[in-house]
Amino acid sequence: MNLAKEDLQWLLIGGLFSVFLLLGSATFGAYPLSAADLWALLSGQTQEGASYFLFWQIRLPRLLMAYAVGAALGLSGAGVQGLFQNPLAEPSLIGVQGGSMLAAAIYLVLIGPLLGSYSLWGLPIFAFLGAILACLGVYRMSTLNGRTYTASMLLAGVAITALCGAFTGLLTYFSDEAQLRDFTFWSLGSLAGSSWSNLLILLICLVPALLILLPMGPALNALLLGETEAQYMGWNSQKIKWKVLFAASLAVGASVALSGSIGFIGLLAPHLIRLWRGSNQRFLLPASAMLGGCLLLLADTFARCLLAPQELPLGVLTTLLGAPLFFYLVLQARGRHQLV
Amino acid sequence: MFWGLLPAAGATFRGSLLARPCASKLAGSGLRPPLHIARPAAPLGPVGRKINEVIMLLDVDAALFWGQKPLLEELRFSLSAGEFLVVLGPNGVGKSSLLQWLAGQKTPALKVKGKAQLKGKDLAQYSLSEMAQFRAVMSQRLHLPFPLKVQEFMSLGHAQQKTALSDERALDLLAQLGLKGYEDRLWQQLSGGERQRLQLARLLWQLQEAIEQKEALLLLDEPLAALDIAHQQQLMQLVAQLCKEQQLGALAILHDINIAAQYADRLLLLAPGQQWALGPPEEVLTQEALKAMYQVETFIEKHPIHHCPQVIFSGWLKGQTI
Repeated sequence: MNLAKEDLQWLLIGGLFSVFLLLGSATFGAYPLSAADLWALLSGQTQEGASYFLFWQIRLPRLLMAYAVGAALGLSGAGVQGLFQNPLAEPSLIGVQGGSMLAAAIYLVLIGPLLGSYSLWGLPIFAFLGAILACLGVYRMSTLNGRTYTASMLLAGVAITALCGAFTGLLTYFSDEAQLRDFTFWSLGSLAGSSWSNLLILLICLVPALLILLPMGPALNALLLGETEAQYMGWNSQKIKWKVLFAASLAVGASVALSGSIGFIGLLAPHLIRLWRGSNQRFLLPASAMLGGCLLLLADTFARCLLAPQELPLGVLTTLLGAPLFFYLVLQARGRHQLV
Repeated sequence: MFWGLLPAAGATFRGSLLARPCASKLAGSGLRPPLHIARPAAPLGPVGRKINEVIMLLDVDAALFWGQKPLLEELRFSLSAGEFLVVLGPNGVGKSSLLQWLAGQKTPALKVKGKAQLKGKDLAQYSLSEMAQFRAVMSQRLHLPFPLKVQEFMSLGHAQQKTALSDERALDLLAQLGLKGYEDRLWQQLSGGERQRLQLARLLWQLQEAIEQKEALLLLDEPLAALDIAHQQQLMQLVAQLCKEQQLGALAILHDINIAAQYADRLLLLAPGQQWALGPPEEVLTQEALKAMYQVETFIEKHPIHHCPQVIFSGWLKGQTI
């Protein structure tokens, strides 16, 4: 399957819309900025003052973080769904988020105090390792003789998520008050800690994931017919699996490390794209990344503004909005052969 | 170009569904390799040879084991371009394992002694993507979890295929397989017969370069399992026609002996543990063979119209129970 001209146009429109949304949501917040303020800031006319600091040091990195985390979740959701050939295979459902949460908790409670200091890189590295270990565990448990059994995969994901949740709970129980606060922050999901250095870490993980996953459209298209058929078409499905798992773990691990657990974006973004323009993975992958970014950017703007200056936990908000919407989509698609 | 030759196949859908005369009585049998014997005793000559300039696509001389247990011994057969070979045998005899092995699938429990050659080169030396350029596999049935349009399904091709699927050619091929106007329908909305024809259309697209070079190999794994009697006839007729007109080599696993006898050039009969016979249907389909294969008593009649042998079940072997 190639990209139709129309697909390319939509991707371009999506890109432009993303920029527009970034700028638009920059005007909202506890401290509103007008369009004129924004122009002055961007064009360099405003070089000092509260709004200068607020925009460049707090709001802009946060908006970019929101977009990047959303893109990471949407992209890995699309990749993992294509890999497992299952529309339910979201990173959180197959235990990837649980694994990286546990690894992050281990780092915060056990490793950090042991080393006596926390490094900026420690958390993402641990979260990534947790993500990939959970992913491998689920994959091993659900694969026999090179064939992945979907039901086993989902069950294994549930088991791993539960197990990681239990261990995370245990660690919470033994942690002190400061650590406990950090945990709560994680388990609810928030972008309040965004900064340029965090954004850099995220991008260092996200860009390779993008570079690995985006060219895999044709391979994942072949996988739409199942693993055996993909092999008959000449694809090395084992290699495809490893690449997708690695890239998705990288993206999800980094985003969990920096923003905690944010649900439903990875499930919803690819699902919406698929309902809208079908299953061509060459379009689905970039489009899911863009849509994920836009969705999370919107959600984060709501989280910042609804109770300003208080903040709603972002992960709670995405789940509150995402779960009913997903429920609706499932009911809609049930009679139309679009879900199995 | 083979595109122009296919309409005849499309025409048969609308025309009579009566079979062609028994395959072995057809003209052009001068191309048939003289490989029919009641029971193979000696190797069948040098592998990879050409008979009357017919390209030898497949040459097998091997024994299959499931773990340590022998599955099929003394398996010797070959398949040339333009030939339709059907493999028959009881459940569990190793037909599917055989096909998966020939298709390049790695099954950990399946051990092979001996070898198979594809186009004169050892099977093990091919990579998956090399093989996909001249060999396509039709599955019994596909399960697609995501919505996929007919034209998207068509265009998947093989891993190395760089040529973009032009709309015109895709439409042409779909029309020839009786799927005109189906481009925007979803796979999920097609009937079993339409799905099998669409699979075939996609496989022909995957093989198009090989078909032009007359060295395409099609493996079919119980392609009739989901089809009614009319669609079974359609599909078999289509494959037989592709073999004759496009010089496609086809190897199919079937359970229906009568439809196999009607269309196959040769039958490969497998009894538990061994290859029983290889040859044209009217020579190898005997009461003795069916006893050995299925433990059943049968009558063998000639079909009143196309004269191919037809098998009628008459009872169990003495002492044999279900």
